Amino acid sequence: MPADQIRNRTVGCKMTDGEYVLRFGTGRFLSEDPIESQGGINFYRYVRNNPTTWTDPFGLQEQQPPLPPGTYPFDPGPPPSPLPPSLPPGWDNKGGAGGTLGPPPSPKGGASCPVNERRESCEVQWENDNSVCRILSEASARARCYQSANQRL
Amino acid sequence: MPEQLFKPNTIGQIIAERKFTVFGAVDQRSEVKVVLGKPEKLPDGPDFYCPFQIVGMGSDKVRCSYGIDAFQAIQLAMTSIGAFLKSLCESEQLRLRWEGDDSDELGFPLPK
Repeated sequence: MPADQIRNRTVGCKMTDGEYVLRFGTGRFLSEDPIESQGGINFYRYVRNNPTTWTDPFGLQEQQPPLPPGTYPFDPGPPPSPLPPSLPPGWDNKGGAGGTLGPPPSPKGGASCPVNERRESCEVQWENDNSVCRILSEASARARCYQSANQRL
Repeated sequence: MPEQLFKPNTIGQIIAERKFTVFGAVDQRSEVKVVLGKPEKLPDGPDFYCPFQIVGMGSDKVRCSYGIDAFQAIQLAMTSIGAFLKSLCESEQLRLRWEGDDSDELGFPLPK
Protein backbone atom coordinates (compact mmCIF):
# COMPACT_ATOMS: atom_id res chain seq x y z
CA MET A 1 0.00 0.00 0.00
CA PRO A 2 1.48 3.38 -0.91
CA ALA A 3 2.66 5.40 2.03
CA ASP A 4 0.17 8.16 1.32
CA GLN A 5 -2.71 5.73 1.45
CA ILE A 6 -1.46 4.31 4.71
CA ARG A 7 -1.10 7.76 6.19
CA ASN A 8 -4.59 8.60 5.06
CA ARG A 9 -6.29 5.56 6.52
CA THR A 10 -9.38 6.37 8.49
CA VAL A 11 -9.22 5.52 12.16
CA GLY A 12 -12.64 6.80 13.07
CA CYS A 13 -16.01 6.71 11.45
CA LYS A 14 -19.11 8.66 12.19
CA MET A 15 -21.44 8.14 9.36
CA THR A 16 -24.50 10.23 10.03
CA ASP A 17 -23.43 13.60 11.41
CA GLY A 18 -20.04 13.87 9.80
CA GLU A 19 -16.76 12.09 10.18
CA TYR A 20 -13.54 12.48 12.05
CA VAL A 21 -10.43 11.31 10.36
CA LEU A 22 -6.85 11.32 11.57
CA ARG A 23 -4.14 11.96 9.04
CA PHE A 24 -1.09 9.90 9.90
CA GLY A 25 2.20 11.69 9.56
CA THR A 26 0.74 15.10 10.23
CA GLY A 27 -0.53 14.43 13.75
CA ARG A 28 -3.74 16.26 12.96
CA PHE A 29 -7.37 15.43 12.46
CA LEU A 30 -8.96 16.34 9.16
CA SER A 31 -12.07 17.38 10.98
CA GLU A 32 -12.78 18.74 14.41
CA ASP A 33 -12.13 16.62 17.46
CA PRO A 34 -15.40 14.89 18.45
CA ILE A 35 -14.81 15.82 22.09
CA GLU A 36 -14.17 19.43 21.06
CA SER A 37 -12.59 21.65 23.68
CA GLN A 38 -12.21 18.82 26.21
CA GLY A 39 -9.20 17.76 24.17
CA GLY A 40 -7.68 21.22 24.11
CA ILE A 41 -8.36 24.44 22.31
CA ASN A 42 -6.98 23.04 19.06
CA PHE A 43 -9.76 20.77 17.82
CA TYR A 44 -7.46 19.28 15.18
CA ARG A 45 -4.61 18.26 17.44
CA TYR A 46 -4.04 14.53 18.08
CA VAL A 47 -2.73 13.24 21.44
CA ARG A 48 -0.94 16.45 22.45
CA ASN A 49 0.91 16.42 19.11
CA ASN A 50 2.96 13.55 20.49
CA PRO A 51 1.75 10.35 18.82
CA THR A 52 4.97 8.45 19.64
CA THR A 53 4.25 8.69 23.37
CA TRP A 54 0.47 8.76 23.51
CA THR A 55 -2.26 6.93 21.71
CA ASP A 56 -5.96 7.55 21.29
CA PRO A 57 -7.65 4.73 19.43
CA PHE A 58 -11.14 6.06 20.06
CA GLY A 59 -10.62 9.76 19.58
CA LEU A 60 -12.02 10.47 23.01
CA GLN A 61 -9.16 10.16 25.51
CA GLU A 62 -5.43 9.90 25.05
CA GLN A 63 -3.76 6.97 26.78
CA GLN A 64 -0.27 6.30 28.08
CA PRO A 65 1.41 3.92 27.77
CA PRO A 66 -0.02 2.75 24.46
CA LEU A 67 -1.47 -0.69 23.97
CA PRO A 68 1.09 -3.45 23.40
CA PRO A 69 2.45 -3.72 19.85
CA GLY A 70 0.17 -5.60 17.53
CA THR A 71 -3.00 -4.72 19.42
CA TYR A 72 -3.91 -1.49 17.71
CA PRO A 73 -7.23 -1.40 15.93
CA PHE A 74 -5.44 -0.01 12.92
CA ASP A 75 -2.18 -0.54 11.09
CA PRO A 76 0.06 2.41 11.92
CA GLY A 77 2.06 1.83 8.74
CA PRO A 78 5.63 2.98 8.26
CA PRO A 79 7.16 5.64 10.48
CA PRO A 80 5.59 9.01 9.76
CA SER A 81 7.52 11.50 7.73
CA PRO A 82 8.53 14.72 9.48
CA LEU A 83 6.01 17.50 9.55
CA PRO A 84 6.46 19.89 6.68
CA PRO A 85 7.65 23.32 7.78
CA SER A 86 4.39 24.75 6.54
CA LEU A 87 1.25 23.26 5.18
CA PRO A 88 1.23 22.85 1.40
CA PRO A 89 -0.80 25.23 -0.75
CA GLY A 90 -4.48 24.56 -0.49
CA TRP A 91 -4.30 23.19 3.04
CA ASP A 92 -5.24 24.91 6.22
CA ASN A 93 -5.66 24.04 9.88
CA LYS A 94 -9.31 23.31 9.36
CA GLY A 95 -8.69 20.22 7.27
CA GLY A 96 -9.09 22.10 4.04
CA ALA A 97 -8.97 20.32 0.76
CA GLY A 98 -6.88 20.49 -2.35
CA GLY A 99 -3.44 19.86 -0.91
CA THR A 100 -0.84 17.41 -2.04
CA LEU A 101 -0.77 15.12 1.01
CA GLY A 102 -3.59 12.91 -0.19
CA PRO A 103 -7.17 12.91 -1.35
CA PRO A 104 -9.24 15.80 -0.01
CA PRO A 105 -11.41 15.16 3.00
CA SER A 106 -15.05 14.82 2.23
CA PRO A 107 -17.33 17.65 3.30
CA LYS A 108 -19.09 17.20 6.60
CA GLY A 109 -21.94 14.77 6.14
CA GLY A 110 -20.89 14.10 2.58
CA ALA A 111 -19.45 11.00 1.05
CA SER A 112 -16.29 10.56 -0.97
CA CYS A 113 -17.14 6.92 -1.66
CA PRO A 114 -20.37 4.96 -1.93
CA VAL A 115 -22.44 4.91 1.23
CA ASN A 116 -22.43 1.12 1.32
CA GLU A 117 -18.65 1.05 1.22
CA ARG A 118 -18.43 3.56 4.04
CA ARG A 119 -20.90 1.59 6.12
CA GLU A 120 -18.97 -1.63 5.60
CA SER A 121 -15.66 -0.01 6.51
CA CYS A 122 -17.22 1.49 9.62
CA GLU A 123 -18.66 -1.88 10.54
CA VAL A 124 -15.22 -3.46 10.23
CA GLN A 125 -13.81 -0.67 12.36
CA TRP A 126 -16.56 -1.23 14.93
CA GLU A 127 -15.70 -4.94 15.10
CA ASN A 128 -11.99 -4.18 15.41
CA ASP A 129 -12.68 -1.68 18.19
CA ASN A 130 -14.70 -4.28 20.08
CA SER A 131 -11.83 -6.74 19.66
CA VAL A 132 -9.49 -4.25 21.28
CA CYS A 133 -11.90 -3.61 24.15
CA ARG A 134 -11.88 -7.20 25.30
CA ILE A 135 -8.13 -7.20 26.01
CA LEU A 136 -8.41 -4.43 28.57
CA SER A 137 -7.99 -5.85 32.05
CA GLU A 138 -10.24 -3.47 34.02
CA ALA A 139 -13.95 -4.13 33.68
CA SER A 140 -14.73 -0.42 33.92
CA ALA A 141 -12.30 0.31 31.10
CA ARG A 142 -13.84 -2.42 28.97
CA ALA A 143 -17.31 -1.05 29.65
CA ARG A 144 -16.26 2.43 28.54
CA CYS A 145 -14.46 0.98 25.56
CA TYR A 146 -17.51 -0.97 24.34
CA GLN A 147 -19.60 2.16 24.82
CA SER A 148 -17.11 4.27 22.93
CA ALA A 149 -16.89 1.80 20.07
CA ASN A 150 -20.66 1.93 19.75
CA GLN A 151 -20.73 5.71 19.79
CA ARG A 152 -18.45 5.73 16.78
CA LEU A 153 -20.66 3.39 14.79
CA MET B 1 -4.10 -7.12 15.31
CA PRO B 2 -5.98 -8.18 18.43
CA GLU B 3 -7.37 -11.65 18.69
CA GLN B 4 -10.52 -12.16 16.65
CA LEU B 5 -13.61 -11.48 18.69
CA PHE B 6 -16.10 -14.31 18.97
CA LYS B 7 -18.99 -13.98 16.54
CA PRO B 8 -21.75 -16.56 16.42
CA ASN B 9 -23.06 -17.74 13.08
CA THR B 10 -26.61 -18.08 14.31
CA ILE B 11 -28.85 -15.82 16.34
CA GLY B 12 -29.49 -18.50 18.97
CA GLN B 13 -32.47 -18.10 21.24
CA ILE B 14 -34.62 -15.18 20.11
CA ILE B 15 -35.85 -12.91 22.88
CA ALA B 16 -37.43 -10.11 20.84
CA GLU B 17 -38.52 -9.35 17.32
CA ARG B 18 -39.90 -6.26 15.61
CA LYS B 19 -41.34 -5.93 12.13
CA PHE B 20 -41.41 -2.78 10.05
CA THR B 21 -43.46 -1.84 7.03
CA VAL B 22 -41.29 -0.70 4.13
CA PHE B 23 -42.02 2.37 2.02
CA GLY B 24 -40.11 3.42 -1.05
CA ALA B 25 -38.80 0.01 -2.09
CA VAL B 26 -38.43 -0.40 -5.84
CA ASP B 27 -38.69 -4.17 -5.47
CA GLN B 28 -41.39 -6.20 -3.79
CA ARG B 29 -40.03 -5.84 -0.29
CA SER B 30 -42.74 -5.02 2.14
CA GLU B 31 -41.27 -5.97 5.47
CA VAL B 32 -38.05 -5.62 7.39
CA LYS B 33 -37.53 -7.54 10.59
CA VAL B 34 -35.15 -7.00 13.48
CA VAL B 35 -34.39 -9.99 15.65
CA LEU B 36 -32.63 -9.79 18.99
CA GLY B 37 -30.95 -12.87 20.41
CA LYS B 38 -30.41 -13.77 24.01
CA PRO B 39 -27.17 -12.36 25.42
CA GLU B 40 -24.62 -15.03 26.19
CA LYS B 41 -21.27 -15.13 27.89
CA LEU B 42 -18.29 -15.09 25.55
CA PRO B 43 -16.76 -18.56 25.44
CA ASP B 44 -13.26 -17.17 25.83
CA GLY B 45 -13.62 -14.28 28.23
CA PRO B 46 -15.61 -12.69 31.03
CA ASP B 47 -17.77 -10.45 28.83
CA PHE B 48 -21.08 -10.95 27.11
CA TYR B 49 -22.33 -10.67 23.56
CA CYS B 50 -25.82 -9.98 22.30
CA PRO B 51 -26.55 -11.12 18.75
CA PHE B 52 -28.97 -9.33 16.48
CA GLN B 53 -30.05 -9.59 12.89
CA ILE B 54 -31.67 -7.23 10.44
CA VAL B 55 -33.59 -9.25 7.88
CA GLY B 56 -34.81 -7.81 4.60
CA MET B 57 -32.46 -4.85 4.26
CA GLY B 58 -28.74 -5.06 3.54
CA SER B 59 -26.91 -8.09 4.82
CA ASP B 60 -28.85 -10.63 6.85
CA LYS B 61 -25.75 -11.68 8.74
CA VAL B 62 -25.75 -12.01 12.49
CA ARG B 63 -24.07 -9.06 14.16
CA CYS B 64 -23.11 -8.73 17.80
CA SER B 65 -22.75 -6.08 20.41
CA TYR B 66 -20.62 -6.68 23.46
CA GLY B 67 -20.62 -5.62 27.07
CA ILE B 68 -19.14 -6.44 30.42
CA ASP B 69 -22.51 -7.82 31.44
CA ALA B 70 -25.61 -8.99 29.66
CA PHE B 71 -27.42 -5.69 30.19
CA GLN B 72 -24.68 -3.63 28.57
CA ALA B 73 -24.61 -6.04 25.65
CA ILE B 74 -28.38 -5.58 25.23
CA GLN B 75 -28.18 -1.80 25.60
CA LEU B 76 -25.44 -1.52 23.00
CA ALA B 77 -27.26 -3.93 20.70
CA MET B 78 -30.26 -1.59 20.82
CA THR B 79 -28.19 1.44 19.77
CA SER B 80 -26.30 -0.59 17.19
CA ILE B 81 -29.60 -1.66 15.64
CA GLY B 82 -30.70 1.98 15.59
CA ALA B 83 -27.50 3.01 13.82
CA PHE B 84 -27.67 0.19 11.29
CA LEU B 85 -31.33 0.83 10.51
CA LYS B 86 -30.70 4.52 9.96
CA SER B 87 -27.68 3.88 7.77
CA LEU B 88 -29.37 1.15 5.75
CA CYS B 89 -32.47 3.26 5.20
CA GLU B 90 -30.32 6.11 3.92
CA SER B 91 -28.24 3.96 1.61
CA GLU B 92 -31.20 2.04 0.22
CA GLN B 93 -33.49 5.06 0.23
CA LEU B 94 -36.16 3.31 2.20
CA ARG B 95 -38.50 4.46 4.89
CA LEU B 96 -39.60 2.14 7.63
CA ARG B 97 -42.62 2.39 9.84
CA TRP B 98 -43.35 0.57 13.02
CA GLU B 99 -47.03 -0.02 13.65
CA GLY B 100 -46.63 1.03 17.25
CA ASP B 101 -45.61 4.60 16.42
CA ASP B 102 -47.20 7.09 14.04
CA SER B 103 -44.25 9.49 14.03
CA ASP B 104 -41.84 7.33 12.05
CA GLU B 105 -39.88 6.54 15.18
CA LEU B 106 -38.58 3.00 15.03
CA GLY B 107 -38.07 2.70 18.76
CA PHE B 108 -34.35 2.06 18.67
CA PRO B 109 -32.09 4.69 20.23
CA LEU B 110 -29.11 5.99 18.31
CA PRO B 111 -25.59 6.02 19.78
CA LYS B 112 -24.98 9.32 21.59
